[in-house]
Amino acid sequence: MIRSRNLAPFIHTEMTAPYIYMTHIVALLPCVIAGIIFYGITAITLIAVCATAFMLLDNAFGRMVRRDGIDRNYADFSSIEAGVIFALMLPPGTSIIIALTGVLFGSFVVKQFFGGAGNNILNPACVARLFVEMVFPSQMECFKTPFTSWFDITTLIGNMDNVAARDDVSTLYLIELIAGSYTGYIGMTCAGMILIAGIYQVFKGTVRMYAPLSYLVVLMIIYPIKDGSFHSVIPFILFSGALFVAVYVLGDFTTMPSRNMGGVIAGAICAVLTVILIGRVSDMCALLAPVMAINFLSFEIDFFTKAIAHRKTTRQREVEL
Amino acid sequence: MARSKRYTYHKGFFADNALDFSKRSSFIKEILLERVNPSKIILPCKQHYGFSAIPVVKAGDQVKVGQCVALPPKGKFSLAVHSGISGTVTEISNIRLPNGIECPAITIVNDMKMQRVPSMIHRENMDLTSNDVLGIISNAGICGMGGEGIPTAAKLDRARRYAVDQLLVNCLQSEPYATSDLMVMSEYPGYVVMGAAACARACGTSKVVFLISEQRKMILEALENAINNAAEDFGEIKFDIKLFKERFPQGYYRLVAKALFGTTLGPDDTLEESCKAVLFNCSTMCACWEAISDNIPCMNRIVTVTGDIATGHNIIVPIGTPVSEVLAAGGKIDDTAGPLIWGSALTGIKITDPENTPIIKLTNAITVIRKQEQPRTPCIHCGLCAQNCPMGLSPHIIYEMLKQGMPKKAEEEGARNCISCGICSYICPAGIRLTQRIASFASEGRIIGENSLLHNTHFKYNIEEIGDLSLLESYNVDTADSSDDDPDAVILPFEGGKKV
Repeated sequence: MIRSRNLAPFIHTEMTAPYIYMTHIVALLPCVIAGIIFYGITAITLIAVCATAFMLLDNAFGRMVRRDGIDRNYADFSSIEAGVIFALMLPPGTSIIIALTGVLFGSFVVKQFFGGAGNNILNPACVARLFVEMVFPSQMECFKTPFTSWFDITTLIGNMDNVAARDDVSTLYLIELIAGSYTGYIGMTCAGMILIAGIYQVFKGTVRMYAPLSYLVVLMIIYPIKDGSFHSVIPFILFSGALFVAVYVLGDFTTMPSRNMGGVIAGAICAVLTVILIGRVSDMCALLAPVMAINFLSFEIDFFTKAIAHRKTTRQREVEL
Repeated sequence: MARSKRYTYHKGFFADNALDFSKRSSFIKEILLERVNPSKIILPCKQHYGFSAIPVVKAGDQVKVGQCVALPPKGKFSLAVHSGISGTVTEISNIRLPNGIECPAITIVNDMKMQRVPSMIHRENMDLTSNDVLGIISNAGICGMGGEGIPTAAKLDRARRYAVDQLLVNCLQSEPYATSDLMVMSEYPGYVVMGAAACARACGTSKVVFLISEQRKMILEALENAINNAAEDFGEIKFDIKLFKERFPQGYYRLVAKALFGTTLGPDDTLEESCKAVLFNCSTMCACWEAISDNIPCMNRIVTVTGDIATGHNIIVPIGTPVSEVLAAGGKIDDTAGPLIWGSALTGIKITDPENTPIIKLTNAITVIRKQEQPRTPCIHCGLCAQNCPMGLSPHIIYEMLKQGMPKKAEEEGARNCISCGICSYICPAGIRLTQRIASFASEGRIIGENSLLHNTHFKYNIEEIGDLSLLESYNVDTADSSDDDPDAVILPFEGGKKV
């Protein structure tokens, strides 16, 4: 009897799971750098605390529930990725306690509860962010003006004296929207950096681009219908964080549909829901709640698109016969 | 010739480069062709589809180069075996090949005299009928050398019965590192073209199409020259070249059908019946012309010795040469060398006893892989396996179904269509051994290799089943002197008509 370990293939692509996650982390670096430049020590601290806490909690929970056959020394870069994405979606005036609450919820309830990396049906960073938005709505309005408070760490312990209101999109120039130098979330403002990160991920092949592309295209088509003006669509996409969601969240391998057509459908549904919700709930809810809905439905979307493809092939064969 | 269209089975554009191994081959930089003269050969009597041949020599016998040492049992679906060296038969014992096949093996110790059988000379009378050509190819013991192993004469006969429109020659060696077929195309393009034309004539078609990778421009030039030269002798044959995108495993017949004819073949469909075409490997065509023109049986083949460690090397090897002797001639292997693979890195089989493992007619490469530990992580549901599966399956879903004990669901997902190409395991970022599980399931209850590129799955069959292949009915190739007195007499191939 041939023993299974003697069977092919004997070589492996360099694109391993740690490599994919590491690429994602590298893609996040431009936004991290932009956030640090705008908000200084507060941004560094929040990003570092969230990433570290996510990693430690994942590791601790993972050891309790980890299954057999998995490398025990596996460094789970997915935790760091989730932690950094979560931190970038926070306003710069968020306190550490609130950030850690989100991390705890995202890591335990969303990620490890379903079995850890690869098994979570919801994006942990998104759910963690939505959770803090729901539980601490007023603290999620604690913004800071860029370049003015590099060394101010009082907000990290809950001091809300130096916080500012979020800028209004109608007062911003396009160049400001691209550069990100306006009052907003830590890593979601600099559209230029987000675009660079998106291109990098596409080039590396570590992101599925059908859902993000479909999301942005559908947004561009239907947002003007709701708003009644074509001029507002680009500022909306750059300002609201839709671009950030498209690049870092909708291209995710684990929680989004795996089929190309499934990605297109998921992106389109997500965009429609976003346009429906925008103005009715907070911007962050309008962006992330549709993503959660799609995460829930991704298996069904895959199943549905596969069934259609299968039926098409069967029909083609019947015609040939 | 201007050819704008590039064929491929893959319709997407994303991750296209992941399966293009052309830059990972040693061919471009290191072309070295030499002949190994081994100290001994171990000739398994079953290197093909069908029954094992029966040894017609005994221990102590002297044999010559080109001598038939094992004959197909009468009326059975089998092939003759010939010695590639001269020397003394020392032993006939059972052998178990790495692919699980058990059969008698003849060990011949080389006397280094290289004495050839007298019949191995250039054929004077080339006025051959199609039955003559099939007889020569059959007697020469030629089978599909790309890994398929079906006796070529039987396949030609089947093509003739189905009245195929075209004969396809597969020059698409797209697996990583292995370049033996490319070497054949580079060194013997004339033999390949003439062999293909002769086979086309034998199976009654007038069109020969060469399938070649667009990356292999040097081989394309050689092929065009050879076609121009062959046009004089085969005026009625129309030659064509189709360029394919470099992508593993493009050469598999079901993927060729998909790319060239847009037809999706099921596991039981044949190219002959569905597309009116028959597909042969270029090395097989080269061996056919050697047999037709020079009366040389299938006793040598080109083998690539390659991998992460070994210096890329193509060597002419007598069939039966132990792997250890091939390696000794193939270049340096350093201490970081890991497993030794009988075949290519994606479809081969790991071997542990190179001294007693022979090269057979289907072995196109010996691959030495670097020692490495693949990190094993949970499935991240990236879907890359499904995106790259040439058969359009969803390996991660099938794997889970099989793991959870749902074979019927797995079958509904198309698990039986798996061709064991190894791509899903190769591409899986989590390092999950998908191919092993799915290919084992796909091969259960089926005849060896019918669903496999190199039969590298767990085999559950018995030899009697193999002999009952449907090709057997058509395997009645006329041989010379069939009206002889003794109805049981068999003409020993390449022995000048000697009867046994």
